[in-house]
Amino acid sequence: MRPSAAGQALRYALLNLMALAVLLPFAGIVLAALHPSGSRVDGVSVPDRWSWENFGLAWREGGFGDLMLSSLIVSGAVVPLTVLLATMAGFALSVLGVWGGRVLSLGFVLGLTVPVELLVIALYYNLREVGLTDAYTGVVLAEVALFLPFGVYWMQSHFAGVPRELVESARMDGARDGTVLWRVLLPVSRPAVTTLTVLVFMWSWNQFLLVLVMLQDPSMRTAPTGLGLFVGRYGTDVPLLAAASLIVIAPIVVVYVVFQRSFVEGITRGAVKQ
Amino acid sequence: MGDPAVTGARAPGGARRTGRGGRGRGWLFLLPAVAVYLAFTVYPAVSTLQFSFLEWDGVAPPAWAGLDNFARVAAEPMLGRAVLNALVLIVFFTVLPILLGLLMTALLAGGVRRGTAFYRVVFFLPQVLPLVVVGTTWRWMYSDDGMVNQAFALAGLDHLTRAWLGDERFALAALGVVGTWIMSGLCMMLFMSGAQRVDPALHEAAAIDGAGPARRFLSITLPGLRREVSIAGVITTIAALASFDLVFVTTNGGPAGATNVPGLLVYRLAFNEGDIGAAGALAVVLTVLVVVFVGGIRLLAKEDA
Amino acid sequence: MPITRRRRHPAASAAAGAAVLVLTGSCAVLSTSVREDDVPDTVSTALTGEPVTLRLAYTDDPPTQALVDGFTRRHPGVTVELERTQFSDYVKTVKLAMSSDDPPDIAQYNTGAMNSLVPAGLILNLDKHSAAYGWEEAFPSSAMDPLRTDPDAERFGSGSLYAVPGSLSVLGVFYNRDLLAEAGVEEPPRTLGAFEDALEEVHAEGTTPIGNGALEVGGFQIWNALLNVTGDEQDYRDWVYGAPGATIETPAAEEAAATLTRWAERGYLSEGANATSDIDAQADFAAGGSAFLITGNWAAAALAEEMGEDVGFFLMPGPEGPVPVASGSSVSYAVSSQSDHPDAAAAFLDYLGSPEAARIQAESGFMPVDPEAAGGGGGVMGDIDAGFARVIEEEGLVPFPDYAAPGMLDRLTPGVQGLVAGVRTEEEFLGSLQEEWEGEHG
Repeated sequence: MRPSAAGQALRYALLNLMALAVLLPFAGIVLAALHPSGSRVDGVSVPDRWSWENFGLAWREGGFGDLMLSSLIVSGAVVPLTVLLATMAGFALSVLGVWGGRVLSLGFVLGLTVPVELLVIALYYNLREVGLTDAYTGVVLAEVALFLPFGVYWMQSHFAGVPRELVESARMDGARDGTVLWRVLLPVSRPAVTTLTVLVFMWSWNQFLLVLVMLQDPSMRTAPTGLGLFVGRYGTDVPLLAAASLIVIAPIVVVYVVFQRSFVEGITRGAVKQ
Repeated sequence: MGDPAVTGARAPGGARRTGRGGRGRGWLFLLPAVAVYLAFTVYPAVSTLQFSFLEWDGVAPPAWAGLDNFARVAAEPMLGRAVLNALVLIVFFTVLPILLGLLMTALLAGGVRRGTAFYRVVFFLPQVLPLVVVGTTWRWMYSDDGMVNQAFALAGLDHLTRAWLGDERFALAALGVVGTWIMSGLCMMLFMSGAQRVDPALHEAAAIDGAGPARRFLSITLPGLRREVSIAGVITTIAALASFDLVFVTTNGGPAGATNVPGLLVYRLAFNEGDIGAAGALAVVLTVLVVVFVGGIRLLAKEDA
Repeated sequence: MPITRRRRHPAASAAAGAAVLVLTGSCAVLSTSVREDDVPDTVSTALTGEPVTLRLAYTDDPPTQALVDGFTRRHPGVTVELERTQFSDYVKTVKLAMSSDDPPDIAQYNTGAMNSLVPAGLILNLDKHSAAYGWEEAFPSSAMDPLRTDPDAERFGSGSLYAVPGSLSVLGVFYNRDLLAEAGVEEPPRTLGAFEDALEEVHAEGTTPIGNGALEVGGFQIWNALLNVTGDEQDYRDWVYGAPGATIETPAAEEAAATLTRWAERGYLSEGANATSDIDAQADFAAGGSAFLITGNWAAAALAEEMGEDVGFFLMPGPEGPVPVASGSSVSYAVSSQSDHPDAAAAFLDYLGSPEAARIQAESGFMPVDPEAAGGGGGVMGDIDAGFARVIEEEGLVPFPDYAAPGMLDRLTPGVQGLVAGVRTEEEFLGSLQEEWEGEHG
């Protein structure tokens, strides 16, 4: 196949145009973040003076020390818990086989269509009764439950794809269930587990509505939710707001760039493989 | 993206027994996940359903209300508008991104020699960002002196500039465009993986017959993407119908209810107005709407196949 | 399942929570049906001197920090932790926080939230503290009345006292002296007609007459300010307090809405007002982007700092001249009935009426509850003092319309956005308000 030069030029022109449409807003907020705090920023414009201090200012004014710590606590608990529970459940459903396994699988899959709006009302009012609102525990468990349907489905389909001989030969050697999972299956599941880890991290880091409702204490809120509060207070200060936005997205963008293969695989295989 | 609502696919594999009576012991591995799922997803969902039959402000004792809340939800004009708005958003969150995603795939799959990885990473980027940040950024871009108006002015279209989110006629479409910006890369990513499945020999044979790249995409690649299109449709439709974050940080439903969406009204009713019964009823209606759409899309995809 | 009021160990409650949720089914819903006791057994006006930590939830930027500093200087044993929430989120936050297991001791008062909190017995009945401290004499009645209600919180304006006014706010018009002078407007208008003429003159000069944040509360505050000076004061009060048979569908309210629509049509409001937040509109006004800004005196301190002598303030004038009626509210504070330290919390409320607190409130642009303590200030603060003193003197301070029902804010904001955009009629707007009112009080 040798595409014509003109066709190829058009192709790249269109691709670059679309890439520009995606990146321009980024360029806009990065530049805006470097304008002097409080100044007016008209669209995309290069500042007269590079105001790196905005990041420090936004960090202090927005209390991002607390917010980032909260985010780390929540994500730091949600990610391993979700991955662990999903791995165990996927193993049970796919390799061990259990009574009612089909119904359970279906039950988890149905969870994929449940909007957070349906859960958040009852989560708040029920958890309040048992003292789990304004506690990281409540939000963490709620998020784990929210991400489990995908996690269980993902690990189940992954284990289903592992050659049966691997499991069976381990059984021959007398390995118990736990050994089969930890010693035999997990070592060959690194890519699948990594993918699940980064996806759950992304969802957990970005979760807004659950945190907004369940953590009333401003110092316990996570970074994106705190940004919502910050907007209300500093709506006019575009440079400060832009700096705060960049602080909030920094971790997720770093994870995305480093693990982009896992993201791609997770989204495509997770959705398509049936 | 907030929701891991990535698919409505059927569970894989089924149960593969490995003998030695694993059926009972398997439950030990399942129990933690099932317990958390029951307590924090199934139970709240059932509770919300239960709330929808109560008259309750969240503080005082609740009273049985029967179907009153559903009747109120149905009679409320603001709600009809919100559901309608959510349907309009489907055009921007689902239809346009699928078309753009197909275009991206056609451009990338048909023999771009360099930079495929770069374009993929860039196109998908909006999808990984918190919607709060996306919303804040676009709110600024849509403002009087923002980037969007700057672009219009550059193109000599000064007379079209306006505060986009403040204009009753354009606010919803303006939010929709943000949805298109977020979702197109996701669709592209799905389609790319589907396109890779297509046997390269088919393309070569068609090329020898003199079919151009556009023709080859339409007649060879596209038919193979039916499943990916339906999945993209499911994911993006859920995002459109259950949208909350984006609207909450940009217009909060305004101006004059032009961008109200069901999720926003659920939140307001439940937490600002203390009308938990109506909030529950609306959340139930929203869920039914999602299930109907997801089911419909999957049914269509099957019939086509 | 009995309701638990004290903070539990998070891990223990997590385990218990998961188990309870699975096992108990619907009884969790019904367990809130117990009304808490909100009348204290004993009250004391003396603090024990033991170390006490009070948590205080508040919104926006009244001089809370300065007041807390002043209070803790007097009572070194008391520490006050502040928890701040933006206004648009405050109704929800305070309601959820005050009905949680571990409520703040003191919360900035909000009528929308009190509608559910008072009937549930979660707000401390302050009648005994009021008698012990003599608050009746210390605070003006037009500031105290909105904080009284019956135990069901259906009818406000009388009944038991559930909060104490801190500083007072009042709705009025800020103006930019330079921009008015440029447009040839010599002095602040003294009648509504003159105000409208001034808008036209400013507009003709190519300047935006009124900066407005209709994305949030700024929009309906224009309507509110107009209604204050054209409508019947008592009718309006009755409506907000929920008196039987009251209505907002009056010719005066319709006229006020029509005036707002007319101003919007003529281009008197800032472009994109419907997408502008209050804080953005205020910043734009401070930067010289508009000649007038209709908002409360809470903006005064920031505006004075940025604009110096350029900014002035007057109350919305009536058709015949100045009218001493304006919407306003007290930045008031209520105490949780679940607080471990109700007397310490009440001591903070009492401090709000002290001359020292009055001085702190005045410095930040708020009106102290004691009008005598204000004053002496020049510039925009002097303007506010002057207008406000008359309002208090004539007992003309009326509540904001969003106090009428918990969902009223969500009717007012989109309704006014509709008027501004020209897609909603005055009748539709008022009809939607009345519908919400009937839902709450009908």
